[in-house]
Amino acid sequence: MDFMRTATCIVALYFVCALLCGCGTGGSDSTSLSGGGSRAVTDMLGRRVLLPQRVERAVLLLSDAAKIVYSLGAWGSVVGVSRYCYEDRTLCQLVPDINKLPSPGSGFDLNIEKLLALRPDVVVVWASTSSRSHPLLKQITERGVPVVVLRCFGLGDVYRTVELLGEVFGRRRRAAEIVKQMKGVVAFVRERLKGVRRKPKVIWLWTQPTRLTGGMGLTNDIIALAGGVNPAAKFAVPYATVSLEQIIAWNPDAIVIWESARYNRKGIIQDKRWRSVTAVRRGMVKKSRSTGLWCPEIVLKLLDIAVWLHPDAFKGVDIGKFERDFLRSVYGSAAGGN
Amino acid sequence: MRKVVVVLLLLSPIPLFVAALFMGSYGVPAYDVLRALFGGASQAHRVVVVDVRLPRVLLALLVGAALSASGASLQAVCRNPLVSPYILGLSSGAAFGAALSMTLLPATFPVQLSAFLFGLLAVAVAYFIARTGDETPTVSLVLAGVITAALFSALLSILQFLTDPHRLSAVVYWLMGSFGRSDWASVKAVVVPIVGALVVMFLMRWRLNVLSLGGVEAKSVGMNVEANRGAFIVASTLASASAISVCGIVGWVGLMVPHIVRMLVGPDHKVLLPLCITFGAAFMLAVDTLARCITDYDLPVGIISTLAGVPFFAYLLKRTKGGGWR
Repeated sequence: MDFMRTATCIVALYFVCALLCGCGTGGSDSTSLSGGGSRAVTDMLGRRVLLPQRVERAVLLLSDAAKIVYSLGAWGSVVGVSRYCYEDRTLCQLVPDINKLPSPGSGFDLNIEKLLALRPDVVVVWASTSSRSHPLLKQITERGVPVVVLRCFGLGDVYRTVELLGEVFGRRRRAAEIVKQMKGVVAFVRERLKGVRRKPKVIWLWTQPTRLTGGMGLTNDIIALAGGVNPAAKFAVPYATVSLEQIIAWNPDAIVIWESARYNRKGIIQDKRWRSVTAVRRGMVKKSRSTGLWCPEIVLKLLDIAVWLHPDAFKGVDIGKFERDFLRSVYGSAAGGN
Repeated sequence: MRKVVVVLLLLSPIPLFVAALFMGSYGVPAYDVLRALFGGASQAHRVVVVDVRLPRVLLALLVGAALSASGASLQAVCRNPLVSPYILGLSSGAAFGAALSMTLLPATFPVQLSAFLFGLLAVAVAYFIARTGDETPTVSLVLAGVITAALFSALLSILQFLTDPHRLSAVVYWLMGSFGRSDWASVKAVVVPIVGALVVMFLMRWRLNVLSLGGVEAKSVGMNVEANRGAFIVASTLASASAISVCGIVGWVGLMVPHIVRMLVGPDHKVLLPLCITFGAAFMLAVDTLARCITDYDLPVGIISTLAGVPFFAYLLKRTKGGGWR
């Protein structure tokens, strides 16, 4: 009997403790919409999101969004970042002590309690589809925290991302300046490639040499803008895995390898199976420039590919200076001179 | 009728081998395929036929034979129809090894080697967990396999958690199985261990009939159960680990093919094992040829093997009322 009573007490005590713990950080008021009224922005899923007049505590669950917020001059409002920000080379250069900023995980493994403990007045997340059933949306918004969703399928979406974050952080004018700078680089590339008649076939390889950029997405846009043709564009998906035989059948003139791939140019060039491919025979294989995709630097990736594919069209242009000027104008002096 | 089935299963790889060499997205004319095989044709056609298609076809044959023969052997050794070559934690160990190589190890460390070594390590761990005194009871062995698989699955999950989502897609694709990475180096790397293990299993195949009766019965006819069981486990593991190392995890083949063959020709391993080798090879080759030819994509072979095999398996199961297992 005594044993039963003791056991009941322990169980009751356990539930009381669990209840008290549950009322900790998660129960705190994390919505800042009450003070000073609110305003609405429309995110990239077309959702109307209510935000405080002034965003002061933002959590960014995407490293490219962090770069944009830095370029907008709103870094002071960031209280938490995705754990992938700690590994981003550009961010580490721009914000040397970024590791000191807390991280609630990432869009793939969010610790909701840690997020709420940061008392954010907005959370910026990324969506891989246009669907509104983003896994994090319900989880975060149900706790009263506004969520702005970004979604990038092309260069136009990157401009829109910069403008949207400019709106969220009250830096519209600065966002417009950055978009203008980016469009300036694209216009420069277009202008230089005006006279180019022959468009080389270009494939963009990802985690393995048979996984390619398909007909959707940013890298497909880059190939087209850089004066190339993507033979894998017939697949209406961002990435397609094809057989090596299919790649040989396309016979691309140039091959771009994802910068973080575990294989390299030498591996492709020395592989006997690739030897009949024109790009390999001519040595037109390279790893892409190491930059983020959905951030202002993307236009430098475009410039890099365009110059590589059509060097004659850019004769006399000091590309190094061009890039340095762009980086300084977007990120300021922290972008460095290299 | 049974003789016809036996002959068909035995010869099944030959027409498929010929057909697979002539099929592909490049569209090499039939005459050029033959010329390429004998050193003629243009360089592009030679590369496609000799350096891309031929190693892929040979690997599919080797892997199919290895997984099917290993499955048949282990099902008999463990006296359990649910056993596959992966029962001792091989696939989980190999998956962890491959993921480790793709994410944390230096890029110079080959994925194949890492998958092979960790696959063997997982089976060794399972074997030593199961070993009690001088014996390795079958039930303990299967349970130890489950434990080891769980351990390596957890380790794999840690790697997946730590890995950049973009890079993770390579791990996921590897886990689904594909012959897309086939080259002559892969064929050379696995041909000796797979063929060697198949020869051992083939020569010892009659012993599977005795082992499948159970330990007591096998001992009563004077068989050294531990030694024979160990030999089959080592041969099966070597063949399957080699197979996994070059094409990732191909599910179902090692479980399904032995059952299909058993339903068609009966449970005598003297006939069953060689037919598992030939039909397994043919099945894997047919599946891979479909995977690379039915769409412009190179589909993961595990998807096709399951989709193609399950209806046939279900049909035979219904027809034979019990699957021929006894």
